Amino acid sequence: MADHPNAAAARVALEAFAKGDVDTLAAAIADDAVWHIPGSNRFAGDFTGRAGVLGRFEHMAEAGMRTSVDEIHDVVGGDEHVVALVKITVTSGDAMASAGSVWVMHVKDGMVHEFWGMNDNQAEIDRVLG
Amino acid sequence: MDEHPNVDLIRKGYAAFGSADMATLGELIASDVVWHSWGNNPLAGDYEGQEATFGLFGRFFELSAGDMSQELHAVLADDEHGVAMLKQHIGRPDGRSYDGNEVHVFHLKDGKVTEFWGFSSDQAASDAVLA
Repeated sequence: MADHPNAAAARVALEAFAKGDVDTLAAAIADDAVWHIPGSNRFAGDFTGRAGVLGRFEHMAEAGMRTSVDEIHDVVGGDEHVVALVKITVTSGDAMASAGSVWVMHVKDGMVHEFWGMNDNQAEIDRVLG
Repeated sequence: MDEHPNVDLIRKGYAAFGSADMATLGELIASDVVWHSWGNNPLAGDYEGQEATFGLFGRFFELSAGDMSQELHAVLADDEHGVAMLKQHIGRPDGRSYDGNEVHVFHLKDGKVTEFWGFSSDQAASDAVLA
């Protein structure tokens, strides 16, 4: 079967994030988006609105930290939810942690409205981000 | 869009797990399945094969003394993967309990589960109830 249209929309956003294409990413995030970032570190928590979501990425970059996408393994979509199976690496200076992650998204009209991340290696990510 | 046929396979699996229907689970889970039981707890690890995986299920049933339930929020699937979003409850006879949002990922082939990975929104709480 072909990808669900919501999966295709989410894939555009994910590929933009992976490439650092902020304009395309921003265009796929709803104005009133809410981003739930897991863990116990300075960049974990809930981020509200497109500006809040993009601001988190900027604050990480300012602190010399980044999340890179190593692999978009699959993007599975339905009428309300999309789940991306990804491999990520979180980097801070010389320290890094890799994880398998699931990113759950509420997608409507081609835009991501809510996001929850879950990592299989949260403790390591918390150590790297501090 | 219509649901992918693999969605039904995943839903059947949860119904069978909920009633400990091992015969149905045996039909849905490949004999050479690899089951990644996640976290930092005594049950964590990779279980290879249906027998080892059923042994793991038995440990979950035993530790929870039957006080374990899964409420499916949504199930998605494509040709290769099934994804379940659910509320997981695990209680222990000593009073400990865990209620967390989980995402379960299934690799599917020829109508059977060949690999499993799980994720919890509260890994520390999940580890604590299984410790």
